[in-house]
Amino acid sequence: MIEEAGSAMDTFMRHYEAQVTALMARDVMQVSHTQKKQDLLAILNGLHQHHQQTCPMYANIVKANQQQDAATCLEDLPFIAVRLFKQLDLISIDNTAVFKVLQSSGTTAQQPARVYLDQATSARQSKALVNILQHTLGKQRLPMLIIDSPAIVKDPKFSARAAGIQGLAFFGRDHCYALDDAMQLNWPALEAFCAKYADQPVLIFGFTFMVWAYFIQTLIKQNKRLALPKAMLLHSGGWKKLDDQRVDNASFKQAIKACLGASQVHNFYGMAEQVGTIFVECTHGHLHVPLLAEVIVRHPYTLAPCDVGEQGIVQVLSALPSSYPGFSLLTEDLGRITSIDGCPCGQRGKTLAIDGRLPRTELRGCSDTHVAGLL
Amino acid sequence: MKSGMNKDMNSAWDKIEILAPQGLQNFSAYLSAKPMPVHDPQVLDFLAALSQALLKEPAYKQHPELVALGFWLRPAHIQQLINQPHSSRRKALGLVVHFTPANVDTMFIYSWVCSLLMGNANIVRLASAESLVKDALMQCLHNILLQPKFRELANSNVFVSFAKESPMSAQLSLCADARVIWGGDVSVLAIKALPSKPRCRDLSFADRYSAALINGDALQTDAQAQAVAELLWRDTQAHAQQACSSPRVIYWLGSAAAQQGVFQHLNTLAKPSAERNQALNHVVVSQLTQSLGDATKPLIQEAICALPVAAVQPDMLDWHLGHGMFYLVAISSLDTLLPLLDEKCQTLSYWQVERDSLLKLVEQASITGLDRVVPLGRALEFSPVWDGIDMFSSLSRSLVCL
Ligand SMILES: [Zn+2]
Repeated sequence: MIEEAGSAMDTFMRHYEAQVTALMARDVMQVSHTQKKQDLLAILNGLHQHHQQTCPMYANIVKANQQQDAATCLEDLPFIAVRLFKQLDLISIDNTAVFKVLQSSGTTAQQPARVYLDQATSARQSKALVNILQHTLGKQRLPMLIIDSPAIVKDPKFSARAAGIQGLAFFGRDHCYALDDAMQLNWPALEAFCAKYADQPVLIFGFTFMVWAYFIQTLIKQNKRLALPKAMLLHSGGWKKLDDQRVDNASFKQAIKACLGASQVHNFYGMAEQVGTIFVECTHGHLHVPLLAEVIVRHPYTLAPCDVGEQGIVQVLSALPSSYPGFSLLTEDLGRITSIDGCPCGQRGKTLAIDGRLPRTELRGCSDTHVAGLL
Repeated sequence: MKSGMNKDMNSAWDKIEILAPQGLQNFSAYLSAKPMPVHDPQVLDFLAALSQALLKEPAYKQHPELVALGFWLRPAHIQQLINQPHSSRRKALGLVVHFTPANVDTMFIYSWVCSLLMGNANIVRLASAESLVKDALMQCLHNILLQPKFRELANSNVFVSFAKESPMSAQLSLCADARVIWGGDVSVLAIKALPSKPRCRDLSFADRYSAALINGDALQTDAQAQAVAELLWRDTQAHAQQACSSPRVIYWLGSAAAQQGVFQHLNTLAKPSAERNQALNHVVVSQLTQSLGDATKPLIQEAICALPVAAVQPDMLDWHLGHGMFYLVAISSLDTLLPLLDEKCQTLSYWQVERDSLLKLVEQASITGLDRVVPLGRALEFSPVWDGIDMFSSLSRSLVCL
């Protein structure tokens, strides 16, 4: 009996891996949105069944909502609120198969989200990251400047920030960390890096807030410039922390140009609960939904799907996670679909704009502490 | 030496921010304030003035909590409350220190009024969380307390704010003749752990939840469904359903036929004031609950959410975020309600359930919770007996004269 169940699982996994690989092999310039939706629906319906069989909590949730069956369109697939990962251990593999537990911290008062990865999911995430980023970065590994401190990746508590850096570090070589352990600019290292690669294409990566607050602001304050005109900057993490500093994408790019002479700047959107599924800004300034994923924007009051251009809550579907039931997540982010198969850069599919986060719930009443972990 | 110490102590009290009445005297003067007689005319005049202001001035009209408070404070009602027969003579305790919850609720004002009526001097510590209701209330109290005729009162009652982690809670605890402690279980226990005078009385109002009991068999018409929805709205609109007395659980007795109608009407009432994250919060709470395995699909999940569950579990009450989230439990008879009422359950508000059979039920000794049984729509009405505690007697001394 057990053997039979095991082999059914193996058959599913083989079929599923083949589907994902086939989707990754397709050309993002060619595949229309309609076509992509069909391919994705087959994969996601498979994952929907897989997680019902392997994650009892997921099975309970979809059963309660009468969503056990395969969906006929992406909009009808069940979604899980991403906040659940802070409260529950949502896991679809045996404990012995856990390869890595990703923790996203958020602010200090919050309970971190816990995302359980097995080797297969982790490998799939890395492959997807390569698949998506190659479109922007090309196949060559460039010398890489990381706007962070090396201490962050040495921390034994594997944070989402460390995971992000580690994932991206794969795309570069000869890594240089721009900050020291005290989060100060490491001038000797920076100067050596610039001297060596001044006229060459280099890759710079950092979290948006870190790049702005610890890198750009310090350069401006110290009235210094770095000459890296052929650099390409990738950054992620959102503008929320920069709200009070009134920084938007345009002024961010302007500051990069002024400080480094670089004009290739790409923001990307993604989250710890779906590593590998990233939405990279193209040369026309639009965040593109990759082939392996889909975005549905939902009306904040009714949760019904929004039309193109309408602002709502962002739901992200991804073909990647098999070790935890995170293939369809309702995020806390507000955004809009800006186009379908219509970006002048030539990539097909949907483009997306992220407008910020939903406000947190104000808690009042007799009790004051017990729900704090939920937010 | 001595003056140096005094100076240190004075500067320590400087960390306390006086919210109302401002500018009258140094904080330390309130520590030695004299109590007043029970039911002092000045206090009654003051409460009438406060009621008048809250009900008449346009600035407070936008806060339903304050209008309700103004209504509760009107002289006829206060007279009704204090005319209850007392078996003995009463005197003030002395200084009562009130600790209010981190996120302000007007509930603590009611316990302050009870203490005031018994003649006590009061120091009320408000949390630093920003709140329009709190600001409006403090402004109102400040304006009235500054009137010369209330000077004695203004010198013995003060509303303050200081950081939770500051040593002020400990200092004030040492001065208190009674502590009124509102808050979550953790905060209440933290205050109770602070040393106090040997005879200090603690009145603790910790985490509770409340439920409504609706007789589905009596619900025949759409007009009735609308009426039930309006009563539920009255009990849950204020404080975004986060007051202990607002029902979070609905025990539905008998026919479920009218459920959809009631919750649709309630949703319509809640829609205009719904927040942008409200539906998402409902999804979060529903899915957390559904993950446990005995919930079904929500009857509705928009501005409000009605989630049918087999039974209420402690986690579900912790997850609850207010804003119109209802756990719906079907029961077939009143007897089946008995094992469902636990010690954390404070108020049961009922609709079309025979009062006598209900009272017979809740008087059973096996029910450890349940301190209030009220008609639906009156869950938030404060009474001087709260959480099973008689505030008037608890905040005063009984004098025996043979
Ligand atoms: Zn594009």
